[in-house]
Amino acid sequence: MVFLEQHVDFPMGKRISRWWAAYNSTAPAYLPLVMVDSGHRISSGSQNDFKATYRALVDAELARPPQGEIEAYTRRVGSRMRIYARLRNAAGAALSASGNDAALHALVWEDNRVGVTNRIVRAAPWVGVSPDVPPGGEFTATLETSDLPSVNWSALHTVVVADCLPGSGPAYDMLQGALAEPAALAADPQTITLAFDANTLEDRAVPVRLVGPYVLNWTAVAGVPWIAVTPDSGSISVQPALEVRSGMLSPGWQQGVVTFSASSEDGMSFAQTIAVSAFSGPRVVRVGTATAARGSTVSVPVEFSALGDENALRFSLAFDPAVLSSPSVSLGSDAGAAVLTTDTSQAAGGHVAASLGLPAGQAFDQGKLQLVVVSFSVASEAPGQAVEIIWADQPVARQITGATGGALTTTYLDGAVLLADAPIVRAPRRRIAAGGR
Amino acid sequence: MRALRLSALPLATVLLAGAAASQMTQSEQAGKTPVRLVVFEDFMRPT
Repeated sequence: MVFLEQHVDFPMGKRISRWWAAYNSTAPAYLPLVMVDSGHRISSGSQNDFKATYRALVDAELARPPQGEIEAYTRRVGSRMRIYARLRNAAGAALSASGNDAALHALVWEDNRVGVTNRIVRAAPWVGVSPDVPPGGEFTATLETSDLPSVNWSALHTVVVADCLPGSGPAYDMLQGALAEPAALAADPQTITLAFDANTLEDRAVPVRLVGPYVLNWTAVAGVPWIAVTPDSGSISVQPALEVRSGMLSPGWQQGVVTFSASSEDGMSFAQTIAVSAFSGPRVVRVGTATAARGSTVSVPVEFSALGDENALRFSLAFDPAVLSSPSVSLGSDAGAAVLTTDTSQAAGGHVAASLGLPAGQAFDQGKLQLVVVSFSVASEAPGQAVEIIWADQPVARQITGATGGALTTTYLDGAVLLADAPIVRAPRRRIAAGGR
Repeated sequence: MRALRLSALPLATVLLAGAAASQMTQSEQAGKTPVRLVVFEDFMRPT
């Protein structure tokens, strides 16, 4: 809530008329005159327990939902305060200066003990809502104080409120209030990081939210050819999207900057930048290569070069059961919160399967991750110099699922166990399955 | 012309009212984040 004091003999704007409208009597009124939300509730005179009385007023108002949304900005112009406000009517009725005396007020106060408390209203310019604003409609206005001499500008603040006569009784009601912020341009997000699967090269669009005084118009300039901004200019109510053109990316990481410049006819000028980092490369899941002595056990890592949008993996591995046996799968060092499920039902036939999933909506970090480790017993009489471990689809078909659902394209690279007393024969084969897998 | 009466409200009472409003403001700001921004306006006459 916002607490504000005014001198009853020198009231600013039309605020005190709201109290009298709610009082609606010719009987004498005793100070202090207190109201919340433009007179929806009032109090006057001495109270046995001021705090309890005032708290009851405020608590009753806090329980009511607002009937509007307000966005407000302030800017010092010489010795005046200029206020830019946007009101969206969320009430069930139209707002109309002529119909229900709807108005927008800017209450400019100073944190200073001028009267009794530490806050004093210095100005309260207002404007009637005209033309009429239907439910769901918007009203924008620029308000300005008169000259404000002898104020501490660093202690000035503004709250913008909208009120009207709701039609049930003589009292006004406030739709909503909002603290005004210093006029500026803000862009959200300020940084964007994207990774692209080089196997598919799908463009990606990232919505950007620009906010600032309603009088601003903006233009956008991308510093690199692989980013486009659509649209590239507009009023502050027009929200753009950054489109990253994956086909123009170089392999690996690259950085770009988009600059938004905004200005108004009354002299404001702002700039904001969004930093974009993009990675282009294949999504790769790889069975490692390990060396083991015959008759021992061996652990083979499964590594994942993730693009940062993957939620789950499932796969099967095939191996020569005459050489490798008793497979077991455990979580790797980078598995995080993933849950592992294994299937060794076909181990005797040379197959083992695993499923690894993060909670819904989460994704693995971008980068090289060790997700699981598969351990085997190596036969003491194993023939040959190496045994392959290759990707398979039995008993579980291989698939990588995105955080937003759907299968993701992936390159699968096989691995091997080198038998200790034998030199390396050849590197693992690279396989890309049909359909880009 | 509106009728205002100050005779029943000595300075000590004015100060009490102001202090009560200020204290309440601080506690509300610390404890709640209301969707409705309540604006509490106090018209006084410091003496």
